[in-house]
Amino acid sequence: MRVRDLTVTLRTAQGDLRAAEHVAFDLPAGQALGLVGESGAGKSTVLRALLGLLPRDATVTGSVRLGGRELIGLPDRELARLRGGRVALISQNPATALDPIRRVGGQIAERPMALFGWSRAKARDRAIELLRLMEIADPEQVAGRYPFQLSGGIRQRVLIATALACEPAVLLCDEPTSALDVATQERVLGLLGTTGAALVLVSHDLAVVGRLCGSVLVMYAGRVVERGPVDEVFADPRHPYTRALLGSLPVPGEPPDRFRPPSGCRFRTGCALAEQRCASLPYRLIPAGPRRDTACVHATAPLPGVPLTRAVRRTSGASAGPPVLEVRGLVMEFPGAPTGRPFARRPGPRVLDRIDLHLDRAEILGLVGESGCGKSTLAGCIVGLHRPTGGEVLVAGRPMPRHRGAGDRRRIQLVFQDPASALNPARRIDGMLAELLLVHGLAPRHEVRPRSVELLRSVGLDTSVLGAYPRALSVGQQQRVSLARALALEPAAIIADEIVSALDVPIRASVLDLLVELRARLGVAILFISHDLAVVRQLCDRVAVMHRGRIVELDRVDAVFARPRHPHTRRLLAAIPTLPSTPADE
Amino acid sequence: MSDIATVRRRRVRSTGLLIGVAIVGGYLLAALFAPWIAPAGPHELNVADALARPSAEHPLGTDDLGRDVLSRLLYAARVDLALGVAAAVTAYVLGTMVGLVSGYAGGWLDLVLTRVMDVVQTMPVIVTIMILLLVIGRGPVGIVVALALAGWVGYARLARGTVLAARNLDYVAAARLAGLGHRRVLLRHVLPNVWTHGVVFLASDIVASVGAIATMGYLGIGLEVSAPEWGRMISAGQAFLATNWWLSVAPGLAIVVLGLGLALVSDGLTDRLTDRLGR
Repeated sequence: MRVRDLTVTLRTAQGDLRAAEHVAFDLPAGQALGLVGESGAGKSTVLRALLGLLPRDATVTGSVRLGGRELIGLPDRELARLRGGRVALISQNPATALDPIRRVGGQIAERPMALFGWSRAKARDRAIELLRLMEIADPEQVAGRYPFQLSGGIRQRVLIATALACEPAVLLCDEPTSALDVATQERVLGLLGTTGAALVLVSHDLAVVGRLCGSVLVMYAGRVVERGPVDEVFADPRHPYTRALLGSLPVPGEPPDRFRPPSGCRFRTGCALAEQRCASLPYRLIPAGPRRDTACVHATAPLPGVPLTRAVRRTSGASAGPPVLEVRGLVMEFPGAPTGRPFARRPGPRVLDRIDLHLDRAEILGLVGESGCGKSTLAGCIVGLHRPTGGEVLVAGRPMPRHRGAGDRRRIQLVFQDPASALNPARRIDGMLAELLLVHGLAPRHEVRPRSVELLRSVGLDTSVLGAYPRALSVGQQQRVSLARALALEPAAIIADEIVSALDVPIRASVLDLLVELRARLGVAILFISHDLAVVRQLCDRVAVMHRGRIVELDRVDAVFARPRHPHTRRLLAAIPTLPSTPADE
Repeated sequence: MSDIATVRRRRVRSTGLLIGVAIVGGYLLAALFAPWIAPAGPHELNVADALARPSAEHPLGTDDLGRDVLSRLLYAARVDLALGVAAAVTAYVLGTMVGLVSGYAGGWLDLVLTRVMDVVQTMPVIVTIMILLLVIGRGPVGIVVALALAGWVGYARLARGTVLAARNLDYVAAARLAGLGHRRVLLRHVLPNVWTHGVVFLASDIVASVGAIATMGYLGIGLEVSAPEWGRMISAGQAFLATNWWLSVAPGLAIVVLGLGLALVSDGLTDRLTDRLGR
């Protein structure tokens, strides 16, 4: 497959949008190409353009050649024959990509029957053979099942089998493993590597791309900013954005306005290396090595060692005075099964077992553990969403009453994982902040607006956000607004429950920076709940490790990471997924 | 990509909304200006000229008492629209409030209110209305109250369902955690996300109310017999279907076209409101 100058323009109500510009690559038979970049960079658009799957409002120009045959401009009927035949797509979510009311064997057999005119029996044999190839233990039986009877991992393998049914030359994969857990992901990736077809893999997971692909294409704001062999690009990124993606360079702020893109390099507004000429030079790919190109003018040599790691690391940590937040002997039991007598229940499972912890002023305490270990329940008990069965929560030395009043609730604020659901879709940001300030008497009426502006500034947003509804904001902005909402109440402590796990890597870094800055400037204490140990290590002063409702280890971050004492902590540390090493790690 | 499909669909839908608004607007204008545009009064009798065929003087002819059919049709728009809208809006407000409280409060209150809804819903609508009319008394107020009491359940269920979904979203928890009281959370945070669903339903419900009023008129249990009202007109014209079919067909068409207009408005509103809330 050979792609040249592929440009996709989408017509929308707000004007034309260049979803992808001048994309070019070669994909030799049997090779694998990774397409990476943050959401909205144009990865999926490119993938769909290759198949002619874009809606009619999209204009596609350029050239896509498959074995010498031009695909752009091909009539729909011919394209339909190619799809599933020579070129097949594996989409992100096997739960929706399979027909829920048909047996999976029939779904796999469908394409060869339609395209090659195979008999039902022959196609069925092929389906079972494919399932066996996908390392499914009992293919005959699985073929007779409906999708909902299968686990996510098996479903994804069935989906791959449908894609392989006609022995395609090119397999397009859109985030094929992001719906799967780590172990299943491993197996599926392994299988994808053995299909023999050329792969185009879209993923935001660089580790996946690094494992599977020979070469990689990094996209930013619709453009390819860097391309080359995976190991070279990851080891020695020649574009600042690539480096940001690899997690070693902070990216302040948001992607550019796509309707009115800035001149020159689109990344320059967030780039530490930006110079005058970056605004004027036209976009083009510059050779950066024998087999690599980059769009950055600085990239003829390895990038200079400018602020690669964040300047702000932890401050001194604990300070004098009583802890701002203390949890003593907290126990949470869920109601158990009914005993048969009315209103009497057996004692239920103990989700939290005698939790003790405290948070000092301006401290960031990490709380880690696997999903289901009780992290979020603990957060809920601390903020007052759940009523614990036993133990107490103290704020600044004072126990929280069983029924918390408005003033009590204000002192501890929770920031949620998914900012889209944490912000009321029907309310504008200014109204939301004003309500909180007025209800709690934190600002007199004439001070509300200046205070709101100040709050937004403190989380790195400008005044234009005030009049917006949440849906008009990007995820990163929404999460900042969530933080501003928490700060508006002047809390003693903020509980941050997985607040960066829904964010792309570069935006994640900027939100983490913000937390460090807020702690330093406002002295707010933060309980940072996360399953991502790499982030915790980078951000927190101390870390508590939870396992089955108990805190099994609590110590300074360096100590825990250097000398984990509890076997469970050791297991967690061993499971940290490794990225291809980047120069900044050294 | 789905954004684009949505844009295109919305463009088509806006045309529909425009046509719907034009139709409904036409009815409103007709109702408002009936005294000026109608050729005659709704009660002007002229027995000598009974059952006249359409002519320049009587564009839709006259009925068996010699009343001008077009005039009665126009005046009937006042009666049917006013009652239909009033009944539907009352049902909407009542139902949304009950559903809001029921869904948000949960527990025994929710249980009681849901059972009440079940009971109301199992009663046959027309029978319910007939009984209520007997109790409250015939006439416009009776009709509105009876229709609202028979029709609020749909709105209540809709609102309750939406609240149940919204209650588990983080923004409601966030509002509570910010120290806001239940009443404020309910009215300022939950209601703004709930009322729109009912409004969409409301537009189509007005047609149902008009239909119900017409049915009552047809059955002779609604307003007084001589009141200009589409349902009455249909039933009165029934005897003359063979010779003067337009006596029944004209008011029937009036209801059907109004229904079409309101359905288009309802569809258009769905798009507008879901767009506003970004869902």
